[in-house]
Amino acid sequence: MATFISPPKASAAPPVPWNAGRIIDDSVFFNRNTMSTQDIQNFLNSKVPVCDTNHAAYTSTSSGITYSPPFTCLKDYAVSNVPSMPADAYCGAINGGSMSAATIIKTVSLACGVNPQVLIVLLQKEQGLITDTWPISYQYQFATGFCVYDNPATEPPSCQGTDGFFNQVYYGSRQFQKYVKQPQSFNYRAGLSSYIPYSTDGSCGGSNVYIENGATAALYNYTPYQPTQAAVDAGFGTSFCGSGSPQPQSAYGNRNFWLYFWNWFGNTTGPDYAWSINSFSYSSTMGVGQTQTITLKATNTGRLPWYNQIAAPSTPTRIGTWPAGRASPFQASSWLNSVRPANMTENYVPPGSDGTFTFQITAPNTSGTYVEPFNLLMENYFWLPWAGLSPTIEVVPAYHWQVTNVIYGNGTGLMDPGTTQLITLMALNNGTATWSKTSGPQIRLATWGPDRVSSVASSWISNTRATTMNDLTVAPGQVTGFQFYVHVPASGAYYERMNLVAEGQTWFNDAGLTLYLQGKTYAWQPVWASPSTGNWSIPRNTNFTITIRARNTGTVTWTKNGTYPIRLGTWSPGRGSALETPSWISSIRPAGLVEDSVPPGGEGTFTFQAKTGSVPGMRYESFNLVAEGILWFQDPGFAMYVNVL
Amino acid sequence: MARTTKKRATSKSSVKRLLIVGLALVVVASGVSWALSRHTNSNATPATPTRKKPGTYVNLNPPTADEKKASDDAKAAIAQRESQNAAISTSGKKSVSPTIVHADGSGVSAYVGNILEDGGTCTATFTKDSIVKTFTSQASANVSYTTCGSMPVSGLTPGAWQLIVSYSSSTSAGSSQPQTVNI
Repeated sequence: MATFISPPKASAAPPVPWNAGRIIDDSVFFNRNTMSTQDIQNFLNSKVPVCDTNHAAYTSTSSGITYSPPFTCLKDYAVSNVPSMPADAYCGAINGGSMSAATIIKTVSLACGVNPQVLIVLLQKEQGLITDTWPISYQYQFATGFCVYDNPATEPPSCQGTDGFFNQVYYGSRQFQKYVKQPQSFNYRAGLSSYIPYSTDGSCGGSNVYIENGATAALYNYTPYQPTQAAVDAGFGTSFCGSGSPQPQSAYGNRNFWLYFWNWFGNTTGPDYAWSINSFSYSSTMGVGQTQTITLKATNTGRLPWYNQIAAPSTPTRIGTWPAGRASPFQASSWLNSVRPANMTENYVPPGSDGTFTFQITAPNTSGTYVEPFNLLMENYFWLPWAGLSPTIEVVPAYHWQVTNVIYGNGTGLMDPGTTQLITLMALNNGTATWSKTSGPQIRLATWGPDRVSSVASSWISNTRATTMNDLTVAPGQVTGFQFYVHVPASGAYYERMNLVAEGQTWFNDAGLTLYLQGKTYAWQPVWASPSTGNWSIPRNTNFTITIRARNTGTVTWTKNGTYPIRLGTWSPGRGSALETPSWISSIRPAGLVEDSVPPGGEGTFTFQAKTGSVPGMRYESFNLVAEGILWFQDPGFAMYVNVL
Repeated sequence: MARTTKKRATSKSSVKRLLIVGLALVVVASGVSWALSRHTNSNATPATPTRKKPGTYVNLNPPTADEKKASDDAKAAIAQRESQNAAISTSGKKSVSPTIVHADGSGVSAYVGNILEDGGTCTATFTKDSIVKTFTSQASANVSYTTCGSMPVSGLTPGAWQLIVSYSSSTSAGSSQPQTVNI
């Protein structure tokens, strides 16, 4: 509501004049959210400070019916068997059970979309139930004055099953919705001038009244009389009109509705223009540069209808950035301009109905968290009070990923120099774009930083692009694999930084992927070398044995018969030797390892047969160890001098 | 209130702290006793109007004399209704006078006050010169009276027509005052 008007003193006149054509606004009448069940209970308690439960029995002088105590006041009243009601065109479903009066008022208010304050006033206006300290059963039976009949034989069929407190509240509320949704079946409707009598007695006359809204029409359909001006001036008092004996009185029902509402709940009218969010659907995460279409359903909670640019070209209802004139970084090409996302879809939205605003937003190129308030306005005329529409949008890079696993084919990144192994990378798409293997930008695994030539590439797409992904497409939230071979050319560490790339478009975030590859180190240090002859001066054409002891100073355990057997070889590689004998493994491999295995730090033995030739003189013989099939050890500079005698 | 006091006390002397804690206890105790007295005697303290949120208002004052009188009036109305009923049951067909709410070239809206029944027939009769056109609708009960709804009307030539709405049912019959409708 636009203005708060101070509560009146007890039974003071409302601070605004009576307006027969606008007793109450739709935005007030049909607002189901004004009071909680506890609020209602508190209110009922306040209006009956003490219940006169044991008031003396009351006998109607006309009918002779006696109503005996105990009497139950509304604040203490409960219905143990409220029936379940199915949803229909006028009210939502109600789950039955045991309910207090306050719960019934709240439940029906929610189901039928009528302000609980309206129902409270209705109960008072019809039967005085809100303030009654000793209500009789008849007042509950016809609590809202709906279909009051006195003789079951004359009960109209359409009234059957409408008596009793719950039924009265339910069918009374439902009737208000029928008036709005099925106006042709009733007499008064919004937007028409209609004759409203001043009394049930025709001699009082009446007047034509232009009824401004559906809620006021509903009140007149419920009670088809208006007060005379004298009756309005009398407050809650009596006022006579017309002719006859006794002189008839003005009808008070709608006057009293207005007075009670003002006294108890304040203003019966709302602002001309107001709105609330019915629904607002959007994705709160967007990729940079991405566009999404969002739809706002805004409920017209004001008293005046909204028109769009077709129905009101000069003052169309629109959605705008808020505060007014704020340039939005989410402006999309579909916007009317930089501060107006869209027009309203509907030509006409009456109070209580929803207007639809559908528009696109395009995320800015800078990722981050954005808060984007919007508001409605009548262009060139009026901004509505802001309804709190303020979506928070997380803008993330469209191409964003995270490592979920790296599987080394060997189990670890420790490799024999010169060998290859299969690496499987598992990557989570936690961006907003779907990755494609074939169309659009192809998603590949690449060296990082950009275009660094890899030294471990093996059968790659290029020396900067390892591979593409296993799946054809990978939607956001899905995981895919990248499989590729790496080759370690030599001993030592190869820390390979990698990243994903959307080819031709953008690099992904650096997810920190590093392959920890280590080429194993093969090294040795001679300990001693000795000929079986006892010294290195050996006669011509002598067969003898040479034994070499070698310490394993590398990081790999030597094996005699492993994949890569450790052997003694002539050095430089491929050198023929003057000491060769047929016992050698080959002409350039004098011997294998004697021990089955030698761990790092241990000593190994190489023993081989040698023979001096027929030519005397000094022979220089150099040897090195070899991991057969893959590499030579680092050369420690080992050599023997044989003096052939 | 007690919380703010306590916060300040943390930086003061322990004696002062004890005094303040004691004071807080007294405040809490009196609050509890007040709540208990409210619980046992809801008439003890008059409630004051409370403002729930800007723009909404609920008056929690006890009822005024005017408001309480409504409850007595309701019982009086029940008695009056019962006596009228007794009178009706002894008489014959009830005479009614429909009220014309709105009439134009497309429809007539009317209702019959003081009776509540289904199944009667409403008839709108337009007369101009010697031409008579009638339109009817099935009446139905609506809260406290009987409505003819809106009777669709068509084929009226321009001019001043006299309109009378009549009602007929097994229990009641009657006609409205004539009214001129300019088409």
